[in-house]
Amino acid sequence: VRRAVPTLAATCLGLLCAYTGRTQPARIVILKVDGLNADLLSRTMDEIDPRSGKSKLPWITYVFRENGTVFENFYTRGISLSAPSWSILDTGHHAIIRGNVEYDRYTGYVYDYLNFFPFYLGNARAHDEDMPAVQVLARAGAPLLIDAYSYSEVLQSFQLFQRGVRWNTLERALKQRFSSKAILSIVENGGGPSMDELLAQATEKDLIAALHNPQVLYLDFYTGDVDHVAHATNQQAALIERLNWLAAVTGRIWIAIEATSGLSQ
Amino acid sequence: LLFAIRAALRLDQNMDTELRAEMRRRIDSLAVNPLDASPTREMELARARFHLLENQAGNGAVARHVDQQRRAELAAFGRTHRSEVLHALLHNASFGLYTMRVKPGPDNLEVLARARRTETNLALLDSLTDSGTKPEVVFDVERIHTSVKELSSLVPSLHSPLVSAHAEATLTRLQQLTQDSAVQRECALALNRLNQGRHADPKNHGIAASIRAAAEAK
Repeated sequence: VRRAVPTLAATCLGLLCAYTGRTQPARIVILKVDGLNADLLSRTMDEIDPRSGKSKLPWITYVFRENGTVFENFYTRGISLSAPSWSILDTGHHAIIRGNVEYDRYTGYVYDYLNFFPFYLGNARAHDEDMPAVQVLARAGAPLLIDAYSYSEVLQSFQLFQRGVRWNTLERALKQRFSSKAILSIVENGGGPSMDELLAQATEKDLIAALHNPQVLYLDFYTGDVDHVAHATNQQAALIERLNWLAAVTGRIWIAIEATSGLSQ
Repeated sequence: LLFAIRAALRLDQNMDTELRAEMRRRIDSLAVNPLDASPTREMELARARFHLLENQAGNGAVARHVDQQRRAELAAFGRTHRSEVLHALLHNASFGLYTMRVKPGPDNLEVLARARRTETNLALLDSLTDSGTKPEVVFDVERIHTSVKELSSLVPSLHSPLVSAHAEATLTRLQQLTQDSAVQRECALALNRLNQGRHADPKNHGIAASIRAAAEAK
């Protein structure tokens, strides 16, 4: 039922490109944030924290406003749901997918674009490489942005329009989730980091490591955390707390880009 | 919320008397929580508590209590984790009868102020280094500069090896993360100062040594 609620605004936060002297960008790093509230983001970026004397989202302001570009009127011409919005952003085509879940009235076949369990099972059992949404787009002849790169040049994080599964990242996150340290933390504090947080940490680590590999030219970091919080509560403080986390991630990725590829080029 | 409105209505003397009475009557009819105390009763209790506080302030009980708390805080400053666990165990096992405190003295307040400023500066610099990004992007560089400077002047006077080690680790990390040359320079100077302070008198450490040093300085 929740998936039908039109509050999921899939928003691509921005691009960080590094050039290597050629006219075309050689490497692209994309930070993908699902459910990002553009108004709240913009308002929080404008606010100055009296304690620090800087913007309340300092890294997002630094990277995108001071050293990049912010689009004032960026929007997708689709319904504000994750699957249609990401299909437009990832392909640059008009919406082919019109909802998070669709069904064929003639055959009764259900296209559940958010359900990743069958995809992981299919990948493990039969090496099915594409999420349902990617299969639909492929059949419609709409390639994704990552299709412009060869397999060895891509590091794609876990997301709705996913090609292949990075089992190593998942394994590391799971090991951390059930490590003695995590269990001790649960006993001591009544809770530990969630699976989402651990997966985000592992993905970030992978991305930063991949930045050191000059062969990898397409890298993205997808997070659904902001969307999950927005569905759970309408308290602004909780959303801003997630945006702060996002700002810190942005800073760490930016520093890694500076250290590995040299933005001055 | 209902209680707050009822209390505000009772305290407000500027409102028209008739309107206030009518509002109180209507709001009282909404009060359905049987555990709610009446505003009159709450105000009586507040007055009683205030009189008790006045009496205790007059006979020196509050001042004694604050002094005890400050001496306990001073004793806990720069304590190792093991020592902290041991003292917590003794405190709880004796049902609060035993609490480790420093001896009463005229310099306690000054040393406590220094310890608190050190903790504040360390907490700020730790928060900047924890994210692993350039601190000057997230915090005003002048304030970072001031904090490093203040920390480097405070830590050696506290004679605490644990706090010195903590400050050294934080300053080293800050020096690595920042690209601001002034902050880098200040960190290098601060680290140098910490090293000198440590090698000056390795046996003379602990909060008691800080209090002695403060007295000698006078």
